[in-house]
Order: sequence, then C-alpha cells, then structure tokens
Amino acid sequence: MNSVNEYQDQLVHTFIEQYKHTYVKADRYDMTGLKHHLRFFRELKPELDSREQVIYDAVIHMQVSLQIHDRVEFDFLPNDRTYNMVGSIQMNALIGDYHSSWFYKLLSGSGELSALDHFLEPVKQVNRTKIELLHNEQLSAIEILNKVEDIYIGLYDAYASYYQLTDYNYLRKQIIYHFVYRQQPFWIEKMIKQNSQVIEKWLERKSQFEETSINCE
Amino acid sequence: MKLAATLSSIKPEMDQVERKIKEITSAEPSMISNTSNHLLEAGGKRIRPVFVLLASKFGASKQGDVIEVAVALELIHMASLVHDDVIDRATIRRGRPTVNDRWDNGTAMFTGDFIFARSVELLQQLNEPRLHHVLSHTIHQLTLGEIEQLKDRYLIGQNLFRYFRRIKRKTALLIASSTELGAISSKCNDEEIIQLKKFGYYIGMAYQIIDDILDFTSTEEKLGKPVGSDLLNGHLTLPTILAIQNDDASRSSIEAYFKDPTEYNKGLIKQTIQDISSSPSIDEAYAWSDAYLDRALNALESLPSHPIKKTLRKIAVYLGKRKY
Repeated sequence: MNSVNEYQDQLVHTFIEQYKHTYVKADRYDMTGLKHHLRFFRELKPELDSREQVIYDAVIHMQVSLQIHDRVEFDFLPNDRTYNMVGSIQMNALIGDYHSSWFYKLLSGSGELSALDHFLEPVKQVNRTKIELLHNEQLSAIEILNKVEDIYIGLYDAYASYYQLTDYNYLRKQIIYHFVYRQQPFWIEKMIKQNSQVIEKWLERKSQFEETSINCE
Repeated sequence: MKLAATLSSIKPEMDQVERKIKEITSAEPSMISNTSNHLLEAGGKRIRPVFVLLASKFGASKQGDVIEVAVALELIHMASLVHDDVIDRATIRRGRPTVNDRWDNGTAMFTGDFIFARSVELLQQLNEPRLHHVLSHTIHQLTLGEIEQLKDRYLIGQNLFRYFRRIKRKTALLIASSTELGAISSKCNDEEIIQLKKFGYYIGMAYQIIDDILDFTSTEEKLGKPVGSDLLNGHLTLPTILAIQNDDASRSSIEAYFKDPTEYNKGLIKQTIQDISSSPSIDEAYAWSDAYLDRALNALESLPSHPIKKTLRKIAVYLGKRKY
C-alpha cells in the first residue's frame, strides 16, 4: 500500500515539478484531486510510450484546467470582495487558462493533431453541460446527477475511446463514485441549492454505488 | 483617416468573417449562443481578422482557409476577453455589461473555455500543423503574460524590460500570429512569413503602448472606463514607469497608493494620474510607440511589391496614432 501511495505521490510531484508556473504556489492546486486523476488515467492505460505520455500529460492539463475553473465560480461571493478573495478568483482563472494552453501546446507541438481533434469535442461538451447546469432550472434531480457525472467522466470516456479500451466499465464506476459520490463535489453542493431533491437522489445513488462494493480507498 | 475606407478592399471578406462568427456562435444551445452573441454584439475593431486577411494577400490565397483562420483568431481573442473581464472584475466592456456582470463568473469562464475549444477545432479542418504550432505557442505565452501581470500588480520596482515582455505576451504575439497565420494559410514563402510576422509583432507593441497612453490621456466616455484605470488597478504601464523614473513626486504618490490602495489613497492618486497625463512621460511613451511603428514599416518595406502594402501602411499609421 505504501509503495502504491509513494508511486502516486511521485506522479504528482513529477507533474507539478515539470509544469507548475514559478509564480503559482503549489497550494493553489487540489493535490488530492490531481493525485487521483493521475492515478485513474494511468490505471486506464498503465503502459505509455513517449507519444502516449504526451497525450496523458495533455489530458491531465485539460482536466486540471476544467476543474480549477469551477473554483472561479465557487470562490465568488458577491458580498465578499476582499483582496484575497478577488486574488483567488483571478489566479484560479489564470491557472486554468495556463493548463489548457499546455494541453494545446503539447498536442500540437508533438504533432498529435488527431488526439487534439478527438479531445476538443468532450472539452466543449463538459463546458456546455456546466452552463446548462447553471442555467436550466427545469432539470430533474436525476438529470442533474447524470450531468454532474458527465462533467467528471467526460475526459475519461474520451481517453478510453481514443485508445479503444473495451474493459473500462468497472473503473468508470470507480471514477464516478470517487469524484461525484464519495464526497459532495462543488457541482453537487451548487445543485442542492438549486433543487432540493438533488440531495435525496444523490444519497440514493451514493448508496447504490457503495452496495456494489465500489471502493476507491 | 477613416479605417473603414482603408479597409474597403477586404470588406466582402470581413463580412464573411462576421457572418461565420455569428453562424458559429448561434449554432450552440441557447445559453452559449446568448453569451457568445452578447460578446459578439459588443463589436470591436476586429484587427486580428483584418491582419489575417491583409497578410494573406501576399500568397496564393485560398480564400476559404484564410476566412477560417481569421474567424479562429477573433474567437480566441473573444475567449480571452471574457476571461479577462472575470480577472479584472470588469462590469462594462465597450459600453455593454460584461458576461460576468450580466450572468456570473462561472458562465463567463465556461463560455470562454467553450469558445477556445471551438476555435481550435475550426483550425483542425485546415490540415496545416504549422497553424497549430504557431497559435499554441502564442496562447501559451499569452497565459504566461497574464500570470506575470497579476504577479506584478502593486509592484513598484518594475523596469522597462519587464513591461515590454509583458505587452509582447499580452498583445503583440497574437497580432503577430494574425499576420503570420494569414501568410502561412495563403502559402507565402518563408521570408514573407517572417517579415509579415515581424510587421504584426511591431504593430502589436505600438498598439498596446498607445492603449496604455490613452488610458491616461483619453476621456472616461471614450474609454468606457475611468481614466487611469490601469494604475488604479495596480498595473504599471509605460507612462507610469517613465513617470516614476522621471518624477519623485509621482513615485512617492504611487508608492503610497500601492502600499494601501484604499479609497483615501485613491483620491490622492487621481491627481497623480492627471499629472502623468500632462507630463513629458507621455511624449516619451509616444516616442517608444513611434520606434515600434518605424520597425513595422521597415518590415513592410522588405516585402515584395504589392498593392496591399499601401493599405497595411495606412492601418499601421492609423493604429499607431489613434486617439481612442
């Protein structure tokens, strides 16, 4: 177990060392989230040649970007425009842009244009879904849960389909459980405020996942 | 000089660019269409598509490709503006509420991310890896410039090198990419591509310096924001850096404001903004802009003879001398 943890920590350390901007403090990152993304994407395809390593890094950058941009909304409290809060919003916006630029730079710089093409559609779709969640108040609790799952699994599905991985369903459930049901993520917290039935359905689905022995620890 | 008259030769293509942008932004589910069209309707000079189209005239232009490139560049610019407004907490852009003000920060961020992906996708159809290579480098540099700008906020000890590097990343590279990508997509030769890129780069530098000067010398009505906004928001631009070097009173006032940018000090800094606007630092900043403009015109001269050179020269002079 320790060696697995050490390996995962090493993945995080390598990624941060290689790509973090000098001016950005490491504590800006959700290290636990990053660790799990690095781990899950690696579990999907454990052996990577140098070309595949570029695609792996690029997809991690996009995943980091998509999630840190959620924090821009999360940190925004209209009545609390203190310097620190404002600085936090600004920095999260910039870090997200910085990592999405890495996604583009890595894939185009290494000539992986078919991978670039493949991943642009899910990136668009994740952002469409986020905007829909923010603005479509007619969605049922179940529809909301499905869309929240889509936000977190979108790039994983694209990664699996890029490599035509056929045996992905069990891991897919683990990933969804981990990011959506293990604890309440940002989108669930936000949606509970929008639709009070979400919490009930979320708890139901959480227990369904747990009954089927999904355990990410 | 009227810019529209100078650009009459590319008006049909600019109309095509405008139609295509509208077509793309309107094709999405309602909220994305609403936010994107809101951005689009705010207008703008569209200088990036203009430079793509004009630069493309030097090659054996395949018009369809050039239009796509021009549209992609404008969309990327739009995506960066919507994120900039979140970062700057802007509520008004070109006289209209910003997306973050009209809706919220999240909507603005996700709209920007969506438009960015859509614009890269647009270039994918053209099957020209060099376009991506240039653009991805530029976008990456742009994000580095933005992070540096935030880091440099309320920091008094900045030199000219730091300022020029920041505006290169923030503005000049995207304009340089416009001329370079226009040249690449119309199959210009390597030397033409280099000179057109240089032209765009120097114009971009001059353009941003003028923007920074106008922030002091223009009016709130023309700027659509308070005079001296850059300094009020803690950003040191060329006129301020020169004023700090030239005038101890300005330096002391700015130092005090940066240490404590409260309402009280904001009142005091407004006098400094007025002082800078009528100081020799403004002329000195204009001299820097003129120097970049000269370099742009030199790059233009080294290009083969072509009727479009006259148009590019006029635009360069217009952008370098504009008053708003």
